[in-house]
Amino acid sequence: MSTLQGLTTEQFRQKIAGLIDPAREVNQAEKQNLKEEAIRFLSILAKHYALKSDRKSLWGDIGNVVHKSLAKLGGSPDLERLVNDCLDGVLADIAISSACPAVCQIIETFGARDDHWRSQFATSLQQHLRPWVVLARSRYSDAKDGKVEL
Amino acid sequence: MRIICYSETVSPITHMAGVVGNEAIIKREQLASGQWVPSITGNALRHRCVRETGARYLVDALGLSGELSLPQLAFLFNGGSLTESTGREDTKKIADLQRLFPLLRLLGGSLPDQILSGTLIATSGLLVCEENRSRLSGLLPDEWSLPVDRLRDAEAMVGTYQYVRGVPTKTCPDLVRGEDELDARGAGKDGKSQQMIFSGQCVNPGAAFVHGFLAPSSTALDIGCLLHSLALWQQAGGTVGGSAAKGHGRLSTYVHCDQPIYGCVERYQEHVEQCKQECVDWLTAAFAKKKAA
Repeated sequence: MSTLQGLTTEQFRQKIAGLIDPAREVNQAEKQNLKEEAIRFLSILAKHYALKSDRKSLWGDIGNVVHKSLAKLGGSPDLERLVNDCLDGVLADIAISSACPAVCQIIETFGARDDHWRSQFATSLQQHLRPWVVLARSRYSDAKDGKVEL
Repeated sequence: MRIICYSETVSPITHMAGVVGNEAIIKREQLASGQWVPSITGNALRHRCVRETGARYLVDALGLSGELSLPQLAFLFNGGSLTESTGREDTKKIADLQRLFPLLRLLGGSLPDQILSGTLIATSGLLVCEENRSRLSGLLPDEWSLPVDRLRDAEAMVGTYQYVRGVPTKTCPDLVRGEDELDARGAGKDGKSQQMIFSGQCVNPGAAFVHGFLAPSSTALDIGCLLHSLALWQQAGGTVGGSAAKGHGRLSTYVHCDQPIYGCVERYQEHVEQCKQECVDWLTAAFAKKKAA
């Protein structure tokens, strides 16, 4: 019969080291910033949506495209890939999106952040996708009316 | 005597609270802070780690495989139940049980005519996460102190799984009887696919739980029995929760005892060997059918 294993203090420390959170805690201001950037990103996708001509299923399609793109991202902090997969998913025209200041700004915003923020962005977007699509729809409507900048 | 276990999850842990739709939801405990944290109940750990393996060892050691009635098996493996309308307290029977069966002295159980209390107290399995820090600090021995660094949040260790139950038209179409033939999509006569997708939550591999057993007033035989059962449980895969057949629920456990335990397991095995016939006689007498008055 095999005997039970014990753990020395040092071995226990080594085991627990793998369960220490490598990321710093996200504060309320950062959470709000993540939310705003995510809603902005979703509303930018709406501008470049070219999947169907009638746009009736615009927001449902955006939700599905982002959901699929996040799944493909698999927790990686590579948000440029997320932008690429999402624009590709909504069949955004490369020429039009490359000339769009909003797309350029969002890519630069993601690029200026650290890996922790990018990972948090992907996780938060995955966890709050449906309510944030709702808010993005409202923001996109305001942007069309000129109330906010896209 | 206090035995503390540090159990690493080797495969997804699917100790479930229930099912919503076709999605299984893991068991959680609500903390005073209002947060819900995945846990393994003390009841499940007590059963899987101690009772099940300890009872199976007894049945094998006493040569009772295939010889026990359902009430006897229920008593050994599940605690039994009070079935007679006139309960009584037979002191001699209790004293003999306490002397012969360290396993049942620890766990207790119910004979048809009386309930026997046990001494073992099992704690819940606490997930090693930041939310549980204060509870873990109270349970862990001094040698296993938590670092000051922040631990991962509980939710970061919760994942999901999904399986698809296949249909014979996909897996072995050549064996389907003619009149039962299903279409190529695996659909039945009503045209609906019989494939079933089922999914659920799990605690991811690589996480860890801390749990323990308190055995007040325990003897060396009791401790030997407890450790022996734990070792057998580990040897058999160390599983808790459901879906063990699919590879879920495996824990790799490390043990800390607050008292010396050398030779306890061997003494327990010797005890069972020496008292074999007395144990069999006791089990037979305790579940003998009463003569009609």
